[in-house]
Order: sequence, then structure tokens, then C-alpha cells
Amino acid sequence: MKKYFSGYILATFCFISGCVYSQHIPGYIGRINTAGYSLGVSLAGESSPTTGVGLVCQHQLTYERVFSRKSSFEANICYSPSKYNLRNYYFYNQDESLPEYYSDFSPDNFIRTYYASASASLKIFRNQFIAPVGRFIKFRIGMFRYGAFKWKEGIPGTFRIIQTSPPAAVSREGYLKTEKNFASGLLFSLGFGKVFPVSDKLLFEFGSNINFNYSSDYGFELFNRNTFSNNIDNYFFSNIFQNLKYRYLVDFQFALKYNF
Amino acid sequence: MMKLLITACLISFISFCSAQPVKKELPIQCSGKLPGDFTTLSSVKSEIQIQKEKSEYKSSSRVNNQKSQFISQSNYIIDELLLSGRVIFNDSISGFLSGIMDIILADEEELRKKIRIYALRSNSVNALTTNQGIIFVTTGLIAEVENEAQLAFILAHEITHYEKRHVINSFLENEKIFSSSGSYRYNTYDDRIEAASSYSKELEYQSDSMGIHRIAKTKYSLQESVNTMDILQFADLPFDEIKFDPSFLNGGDIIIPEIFFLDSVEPIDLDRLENENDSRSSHPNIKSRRERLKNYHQKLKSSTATEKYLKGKDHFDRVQLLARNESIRIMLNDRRYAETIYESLVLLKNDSANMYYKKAIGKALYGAAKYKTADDYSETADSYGRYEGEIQQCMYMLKQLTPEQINFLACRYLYDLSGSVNSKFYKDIRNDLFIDLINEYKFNYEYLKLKTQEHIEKTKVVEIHDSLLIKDSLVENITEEGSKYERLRKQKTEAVTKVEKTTIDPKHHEFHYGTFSDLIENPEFIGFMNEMSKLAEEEKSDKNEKEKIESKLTSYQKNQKEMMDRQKRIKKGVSLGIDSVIIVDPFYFELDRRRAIAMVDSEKKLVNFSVDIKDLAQKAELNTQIIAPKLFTESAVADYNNMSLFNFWVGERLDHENIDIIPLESEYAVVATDHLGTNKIIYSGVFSFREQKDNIGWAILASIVPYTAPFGIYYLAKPNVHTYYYTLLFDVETGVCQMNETIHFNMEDKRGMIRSCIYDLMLQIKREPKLKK
Repeated sequence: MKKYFSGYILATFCFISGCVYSQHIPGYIGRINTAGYSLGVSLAGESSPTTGVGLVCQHQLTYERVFSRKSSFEANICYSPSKYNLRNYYFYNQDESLPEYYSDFSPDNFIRTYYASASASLKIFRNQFIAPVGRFIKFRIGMFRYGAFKWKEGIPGTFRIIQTSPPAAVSREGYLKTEKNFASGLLFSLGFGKVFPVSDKLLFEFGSNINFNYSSDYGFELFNRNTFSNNIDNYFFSNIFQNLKYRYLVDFQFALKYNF
Repeated sequence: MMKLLITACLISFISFCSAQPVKKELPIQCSGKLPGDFTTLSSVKSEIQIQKEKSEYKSSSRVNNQKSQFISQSNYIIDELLLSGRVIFNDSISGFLSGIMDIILADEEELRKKIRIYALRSNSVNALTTNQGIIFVTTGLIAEVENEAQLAFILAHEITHYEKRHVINSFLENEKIFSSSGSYRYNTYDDRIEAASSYSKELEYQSDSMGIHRIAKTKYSLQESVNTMDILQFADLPFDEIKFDPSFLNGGDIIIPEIFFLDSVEPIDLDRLENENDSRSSHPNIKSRRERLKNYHQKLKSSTATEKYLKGKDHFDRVQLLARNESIRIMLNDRRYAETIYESLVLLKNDSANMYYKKAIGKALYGAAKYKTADDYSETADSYGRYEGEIQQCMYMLKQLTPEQINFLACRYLYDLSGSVNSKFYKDIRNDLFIDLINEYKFNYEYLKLKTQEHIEKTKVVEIHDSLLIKDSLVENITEEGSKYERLRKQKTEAVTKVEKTTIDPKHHEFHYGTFSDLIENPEFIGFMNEMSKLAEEEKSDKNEKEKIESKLTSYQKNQKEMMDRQKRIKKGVSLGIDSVIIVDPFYFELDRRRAIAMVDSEKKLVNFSVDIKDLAQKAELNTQIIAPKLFTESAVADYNNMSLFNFWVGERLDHENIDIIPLESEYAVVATDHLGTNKIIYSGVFSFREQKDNIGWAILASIVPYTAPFGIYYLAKPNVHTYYYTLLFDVETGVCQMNETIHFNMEDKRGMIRSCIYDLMLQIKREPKLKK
């Protein structure tokens, strides 16, 4: 996967560089490159152990290069750690040596999940603005990956999962075996926002994106055909990944960028 | 040793010679150092004055607030005037005015120190005083007064306004009247207007009274103080009333036929404004002021002084001539071509060889001809019926002349003038008119010759312009003695003779074909016409090419093309390939409609904007000279003079809008551009205004409904601000506008955003255009 990601980013960078004729581009006071950190925030269900709904942060590193008066390309890598709340599940240990009812699946009753993406965006600035400042709309395409960390670690035996809500009737039995699972897919995004110069070298950006993370229920099959090996894994991860997919549907971004 | 000495002497002689600037005719120029009034920011001045006001005049906090508001506003507005380029200092006019002021306040040194006096380039007949101690006297007033004593009375009147704090008191009183406080509580709106007028009139009477008492302490004639009212009464009349003689247009063998003149002119109403209803006016009517002044004069019989001049008549005449020249320039700038011609003829009467007035007539004819060709002459002249006296003839004649006729007359006048004036500007405007004659009116040399010969055949006997010979009773009665106003009064009762006229339609009159009759066989003229034909051909082919392309397109295609061009311009910008520019008088204005003009903010932002333009032009490697008034230091007099020339130029250029004309101010402005090394000037500015939101109620409602809350909150949080950033780039020599960009942001005027736009535009100006294959 790393090969795919790095190849993708390299290709994007080469494409951007090929498009640039810096001598004709004003940029922001002659500076056409920006690099910075962006903090994304989105609302996520089942991300908080107590309330059920919480905020999920995305940490992004971006590099942007202006290639005309009204447009720029942006390369972006994103990493977003989060938690998946297990309050709607009961886990029964079928190993006789352990207590019958065992729901303390992890110390805080959640699974640590993550979301990572690499993407390239085309930013188009509105008529009156000169890239890279002003109001813009953004079209983004990229790849994402999400998964759960070694959630079985430290727990011996096999488990039966009962989902109690909603509705409480669902009950599946099986055995959780996989120590680390992930799914990948394609990311399409439409965003808008505004960039203000704070000083000649520092830009502040804020905006919002609507993200479409495309993958099958079990992940993007091209990469993950054999990830889930049994029923209970399928069922459980299907639920987690569905949830993760929608966590990033709408996000709000705040970025501080260095202009050079 | 001897050789060295000779070489040194020679070098110093050469450098002395080369250091002599080429003297070109320019309007009045300021000299010396810029006074502190021009170099101190209005916010700084306001702060000092507010502190002083609070310490010297104790008032309630409410009144103190009103005073602070007044001081801030007035300083901002006065600074706008001071830095407009219209104010003249350290020149012969303001020096003369200062001299009179010294005489009036000879015994009041402290007061004299507080007052600064400047001449103001304006044709309004007026003088004005500010709360800060600045007295402005317009060149229009100086051009109209008859002697130094009258000017002295006007200054004495203005001194009282300052001494008695009339400006600020008037403001405070008006605040009281219009906020319906105190005794004005139950007044109707009409009552309040009359109360304000009455208060203002009292202040004027007080100034007249104290003014004449001050004059009584000098050797100036008191009678002249009373006579000053004549100036106010006849302020709109020309410098003098003379018969309009159109013979200055008689080139070749033409005489303008009588049908181009009125039978009679409207006599001057000598009782005008005398009994004007002043119940709502800020000034009393002239009759009552004259009566009061006469009374004061009677009471002050102890003063037997009769001097009209203390600084000397010659000195006064010189200063007045300068002021009148300035008036002529302003008339041209205001596109009042007919009036320029009449006033120039008035002044030529006493100085028939004066080239300044002859050139002014040439420029006025050029302007009138260009506007006639563009079928927009009414833009430059009011109806002749609104004028009185002989000036009507001039107005009427220009109105009646067809575009072709006036082009012929102007061409001939400028052909003769450019022969006697060694100036590129006059050659350019002459050529421009001849090109019009060839392209617009189809008179190439051959056709001109044919028409001229036909005309010569037709008029074997030269017509004599009857109106020149007919004795006009009005003219006859204009005597040479006495003041302008005395002479006018003597003519009051005389009748006006009517002249019989032929009924030929002026449109079909062909008198103008004789304009070049004496030149038509002249080899020099033939050569000139051939040269003009070539230039006309070049211009025509350029035009034709454009027209050809456009004629093939349907209106839909034309619109599409325009839209595509616009989109392309927005997307890619333009490339002008200009290396060097002068940025003149940057502008920044912020208005918050919820409060008032954000003056302090505007000034601060203007300073930043000026600094930014300078900085970003350097970054874009554009060779830039900036003339920014808010950055002036006391040594920036040359910049101030140049700014004045450019501001007049651009004022005229913008008035012309789409008329294809060389601005008449180019004659002077090119002197500045030659000195600065480029003829490209940029006017750039920011205008930002904040409005109240219209739908606050709906937004509040929306923000409490879950699904619409984000929109409601966004609407409430987002300020309703519009910001416009504009840039105009002109070629001073040709008047062509090479860039006209206005950028509108529906957001606050963030400095960074403006900087982004400035840099982009500088880059567009600098960028070399791509060569078409």
C-alpha cells in the first residue's frame, strides 16, 4: 500500500510542477508555494464512550502550489485517530475458565480506530481573488484507509458478540481472530473556504468539505479481498467501517500555512 | 596649471548650462517647504486641537463630544482639500494675500501668528475660514475683485470668523437646533431651518461689522469695503463686458455670417440678487449687507483713508493676472469652452499679444470641435439663454456652428497657432483635428481644394459680416472709464437694436469652405495635408480592421466574444509591458453606514495603502515613483506640484469619459512626466463600506431552528461589507486609459487581500505581452 500512496503523491507533485510557469503567476506577493498544518474537525457517532457523539480531529499536512492566477494544486496527507464506542455491544467469553459475562473488552470500552488519506486537490479561486488567497472551491481526489488497532490484544480465547442496540435482537456468534484490520478506498471531496493572509508569509485558511469515501462494506476489495476471514469479523468490521465512513462525510478545516 | 583651470572653468560652465531646466509654461507652482498643515496627519491635528479645546473652553461632556466630533470631521475634510493639489502656498498670490493680512493685523501679532492663508484654485468667487485658522481665498475671487482694498475687507471679514470661532459655534448651534433641544424643542422643521439661517446671518453681519472696523484702522478705503458687495452681486459675470468679436476666427477669406449670431443679447440684470429672499440662506442678501456696510461707513467717518492699494497697483495687477490665468485654466478643465473663448478675448483686449490666451482659445476650439464631432457638445455648455450680456453671442455662435464648420475653424486656428508656438502638444491637437477632418468629414486635400475653389468662385465679392459693422447700442455704450460695475450701471437704460437676418439655415451654410483659401496652393500646407492623410489612413485602417471583424459577428456573437474576453482577462489578466509608472494620490475611504465616516481608520489605512503600493511595486520589479500626499515631508514640494498637475489632468480626463480627445491639461502634465521619466500614471484606491443587514429578524429566527441554524448564525456573524479596489492607468500624452480594473470583494478590506491585488496588478503592468505569431 505504501508503494501506491507514495507513487500517487509523487505523480501528483510531478503533475503540479509541470503545470507551473512561475514567472507568469502572481501567487501571494510573488510566493507560489505554501505548506502548512490543517486541523479538521468533524462530528462522529459512537466516537465518545459516554455521549455517543463526539468530535473527531484530522491532522493534515498540506503542500499547495499555485499554477495560475485563479487556481492551485494541493497535496495533502491526513491522519485521524479516533475511538469506536462499544457500549452497544456485549461480548461473551466462551472460554469456561473466564467469567461468563465479559464486556470489559478494552479498558475504556472502545476500540482505537484510525483514518488516513493522501489526496490531491484542485482549488479554484473566485473571480476577484488571486490564488492562493480569497474564497475558493476545491475538488479533491485521493485514497483513504481506515482500520482498527490491535483490539484483541491481551484478551485470550474467542468471543461472541451481541449487538444490543439498535435493535437489541441482533445476535451473531463467531470468533474474533484478526489482530489488525483495515479497509481502503477512493476519496472524492468537494470543498469551499476562504484563505486570509495573516502576514506576507503566513496564511490562515478555513473551510468545509463534503467527502465521499468510496469502498465496499468490507473495504476496497482491490486491496482487502481477504482481510476478514470469518463471519463475526465481517459483521463487526462492517459496522465499524460503515460508521467510520460517515464520520468524515462533512468536515470543517482550519489551517495555518507558511507561504514561500 | 593654466590648462587645468581653463578645463575646470569650462566644465563648470557646461554643468551650469546643462543644469538650467528647460523653461516651460506651467500654472502657478508652489515653492519652498511644505507647510505643517500639509504634512501632519489629520488624526494628529485633531488630537492636539481636541486637547486644546477641552483645556481652553470648558463645556459639558455632551458638548465636548460634539466638539471632538466636529474637530475630527473638519480636520479630515480640510486635509482632503489641502492635499488635493488645489491649494497654493509660497507663491506670489498667497504671498500677496499674506502681505495684506500683515497690514490688517499689524497691531494684533498674536492673532496674526495663528492665521495661515492660502490661495485655492477654484472659479467660485469665495473665501473660507476654518476653525483651525486657515483662510482659503479662491483664485476666482482674486480674479474678480477690483482692487487690493476690496481684498483686504474680505480678509478682515474672514479674520472675524476665525477670531470669534464662528465655524465651531455655528456647528454647535445647528446641533442644538436640529436635535430640538433647549428653546428649539417645539419648533417645526421649517422653523429650525430659519433659525439656523438667522443664526448664520447674524454671524455674517458680525464679521462685516468687525471687518470694516478693522479696515478702518488701516489706510485702505472704506468705500471699497462697501463696493465689495458688487463682486458678490455680479460674481457669475465674465471678467469684463466687451463686444464679442469673432474676427479671431477669420482665417482665409471667411467671415462668419450673421445668422450665427443673436439679434440681441439679454441685458444684464443690475438688480440681480439684490433683494433675494434670504430667509433660508446662510448669508444675508446683498442689499441688506450693503446697507449695513454703508451705515458702518457713515459712522466711521473719522477714517478718511482712501487708499485702494497699499502694496501697489502693479503688484495687485500682476497677482490678479495670475489668478485670471488660473481661472481660464479651470474653465478649460471644466470643459466650459465657450466661456473660455469669451474670457480670453476679454483679457486679450488689454494684451493682444498674449500667447497664453491665444493658446487657451485654441484649446477651447479643439475641445468644442471634438465634442461636436462626438455629437455631445451639450455636455460642455449650458443653454445660451441662461447667460446675460455679450457672452451670449459666443455661446450662441458655438452652438449654431455645425461639427464640420467648427472643425474647419478650429483646424485653421490651430494650424496658425502651432506655427507660432513651438510645442508638441499644439501640434498633436492640430493633427488630431485634421485627421478628423479627413476621416470623419472626408476632406482629403483634393476634396478640400475642390470645395475651396468652388467657394472662391461663389464669393467673388467678399461678404462683410454685417453684425461687425452694425452699431450695437450695448457695445457703443460700453465706455472705457470707471469700474466694470459702474460701467454696467450706466448701460442699464439703453435699448438694444435688432438686426435683420437672412433665413439661410446655418446647417447648410458653406462659408467655412473658404477657411483655407489662402493656403490651398501653399506647398507647405500641401505637404502638411499629405502628411495628415497618411496619419489618417493609418488610423482608419486600424479602425477598419476592428470594424471589419465586428461587422461579421451577430449581436449574440459579439456579446459572447465580449464575455469570453472578459473571462480571459479575469483568468489570465493583461500584459502591458510597462517598465515605469508614477502612482499618484492613492485613495482610501472607509464608510460605516451604521456610524459615520470612519475618518481615523481611513487615514491610517491610506497611509498603509500608500506604503504597500510602494513596497509591492518594488517587489514586482516595476520602476515606480509614488506621489502619496499622506507620506509627504516638508521637502516634497516638487511632488506636491506634480500631484496638482496630475490631479487636474485626471479630473479632466475622467470628465471626457468616452470622447476621443487629448486632455487639454496634457500640455502641463507632460512637463511633469518628462521630468519623472515616464508618461504612465496610475490612480488607485480602495472604497469600503459597511451596511446594516436587512434581514436580521429572519436570521435570528433561522438561527434557532436546528436545520437552518448554521445559515442563520453565519448570516448574523458575517459583516455586510463591500470593498472596491480600483486601478486606472493612463498615458498622459495621449489620454488613453490602458488599464481600468475594479475588483469587488463582498468582505472586509483586509490589508492582506488588498496587497494581493496590488501585487497582481503591478505584475500585469510589468509583464511583457506575448508576441502574436
